[in-house]
Amino acid sequence: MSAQAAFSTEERQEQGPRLTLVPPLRSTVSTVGFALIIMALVAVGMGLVMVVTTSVAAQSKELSGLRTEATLLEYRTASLTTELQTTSATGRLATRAADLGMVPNPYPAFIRLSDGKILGEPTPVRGNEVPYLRQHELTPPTAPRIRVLAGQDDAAAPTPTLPMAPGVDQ
Amino acid sequence: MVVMALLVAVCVGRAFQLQAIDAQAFAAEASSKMQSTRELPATRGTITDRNGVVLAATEPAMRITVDPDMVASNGADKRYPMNDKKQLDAKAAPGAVARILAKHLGGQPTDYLKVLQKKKKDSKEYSRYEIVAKQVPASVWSEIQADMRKGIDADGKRPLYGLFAASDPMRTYPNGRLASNVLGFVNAEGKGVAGLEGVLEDDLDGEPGQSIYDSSRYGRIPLGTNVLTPPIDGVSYETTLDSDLQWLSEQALADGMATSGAKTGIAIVLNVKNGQILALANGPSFDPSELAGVDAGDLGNRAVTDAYEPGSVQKVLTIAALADAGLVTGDTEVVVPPQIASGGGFVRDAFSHGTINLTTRGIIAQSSNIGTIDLARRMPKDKLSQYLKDFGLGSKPNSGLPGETSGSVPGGDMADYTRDQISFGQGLSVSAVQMSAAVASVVNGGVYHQPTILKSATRADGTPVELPQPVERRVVSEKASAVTLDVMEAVIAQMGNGKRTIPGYRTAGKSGTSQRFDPKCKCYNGYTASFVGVAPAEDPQLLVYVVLDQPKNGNLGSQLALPVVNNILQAALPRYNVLPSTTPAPERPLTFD
Repeated sequence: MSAQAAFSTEERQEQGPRLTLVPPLRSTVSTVGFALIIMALVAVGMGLVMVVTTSVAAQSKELSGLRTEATLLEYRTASLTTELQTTSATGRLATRAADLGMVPNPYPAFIRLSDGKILGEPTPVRGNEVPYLRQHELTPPTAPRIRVLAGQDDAAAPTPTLPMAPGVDQ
Repeated sequence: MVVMALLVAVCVGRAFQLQAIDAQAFAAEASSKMQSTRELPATRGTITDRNGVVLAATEPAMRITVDPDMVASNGADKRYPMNDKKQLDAKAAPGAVARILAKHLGGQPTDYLKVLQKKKKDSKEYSRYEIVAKQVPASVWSEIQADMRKGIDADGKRPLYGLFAASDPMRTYPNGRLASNVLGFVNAEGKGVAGLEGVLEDDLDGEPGQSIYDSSRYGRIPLGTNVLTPPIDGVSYETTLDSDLQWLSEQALADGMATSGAKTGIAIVLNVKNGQILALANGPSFDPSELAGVDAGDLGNRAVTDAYEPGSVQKVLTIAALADAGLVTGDTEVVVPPQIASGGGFVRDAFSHGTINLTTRGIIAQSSNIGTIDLARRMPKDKLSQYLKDFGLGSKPNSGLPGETSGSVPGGDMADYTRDQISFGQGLSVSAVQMSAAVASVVNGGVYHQPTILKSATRADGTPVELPQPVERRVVSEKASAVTLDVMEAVIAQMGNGKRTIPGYRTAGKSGTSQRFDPKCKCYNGYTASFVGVAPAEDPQLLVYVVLDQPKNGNLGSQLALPVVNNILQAALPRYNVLPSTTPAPERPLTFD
């Protein structure tokens, strides 16, 4: 206690400013205002979430629509591909060629490009040289068949079983 | 107050049980209720010819089903009474749906009304599930759906309900019955059961995928579970077949069968240089899309499954073996008696003659059994047997086609008369593919190439699948090959008064006329006429082998099968850019003084 008393005023001044109580801060936003800000933030957040959700839903719907469209186009492509393959089948082309008056030429002849020499004997044809190609009914390629079962029993047609060749282990 | 406290306690307890104790189980149950799993079918691989022409493919298709109960009310919720408008719609719905089905699937609306109004068995209630049609192209189903949405008045205001569809892929064969015996077919479930479709089933089929997703009554939940395991489509195969040549061969074979009255027929075109089968025709054939009423015997591939005695075509192999052993040349002279003793009996030629002097060439040109026996007796039996086995007889050729027969070749300990028999094509059995490959090896400088039907295979991701390497081996020397080719050319050029040739090319060949062994009576019954032709004779590129079984109008291979062979060769040679022959066929001695 005696030591404390020994401090002079000068010494006190050298130690720093004198401590005083900080006056209470005056809040710039009232409690109600703060609540309103929070509510506004929540509202904005929820709005954003709603926008994002709506956007995702809309995009999802659009994606679903595009998927459906792609699937339909795939189906159409597959159908047209099958039609093209069937139309360009060898038997059909041969029939169409014959209908157009084209005839096969059984006499071979080649032109050798290196010297222009003709190999073989070019021979005109009348159209009856290869009778076997038109002699038999040309089996038209089968168009894909729809198996309509309406009004029938749902028993599938039995698949024939293959016979075993004598002495053959299949 | 106490009651309130109890109620709150119960609620808190239940909440605690749900949230803390059984939380995971309930969450899992809720999740499973939301989650849907859908199988994604793999697309079956295609089968194409060597030029990419599609022989078998799969098109997406649907199985259309109907809920007759739903059609009867046109989708109205039956828990509530229908107003007048809905009642009118329900009354019009079956007829409208039937008209849509008839429009797209064919037939008359009345055909469909039966199934649309079908009732449960012994009940007045409508059925809830009936099949309308199977394998309806998916594009057709899309059109049906569109019309259903347009509804009763086709203006979209009164849509129709009650039709459903499930995936039911359809196997298509754009070329119809072309090569059907090679391709085989699939059953109602889409599984290959015959031909290449059957033997390659595991690879063609692929592996189905799976889609797992969360959904509600309004469809997929956008940010929910969405796990997609894509299907692995089947392997696609490229065959060695040439579809154009296949069609030509089938036409020529059909012509030959009609002319000869043969019960069945086979035509094979083989690339001599590598053993690839360019065409393989069977008659009668079938349409793989329409199997009803087809004879079961016609569904297989007789070219590999049926074993028969080859007859005189076998002489080609006998001469090649003898030439390779240095025992004969084309000019080897043989005094051929009218008959020759064998096994306690006598063997005669198909033509009557006294004692004649024939060269080896003459023996083959005139197809002398006696001369061939005389020559064959110069070779030890075990050696002859081994040669035939080296030519591929007696074992499956492993061509890639299912159901191959091994045929049979007597061993080295065979009886003398058996050796005599097999030298001219009796007492052993072969398949047509075996015989084609064997003769091809003779004319290919003596090198055997295993016959093959598969050229390449590709996975759905484009990576190639390695196929077994075809076996290749030398059987006879080039010199022996040349000797045999020389005597085969005499069959065409020096016999038949020029009627056996084709324009532009030198060809070589050999006929076969054999009695047909009937396993039912264990006796010979009927004939098998055959002919093998190769061209051009200077350097054979293509081989054509035709077998006509049980012909009615004659039995000689040179008369019945040769025209078919020539028709095919005439078409095939220019197609494969084989240049016409520039030198005439040589005239060499068939007889001697």
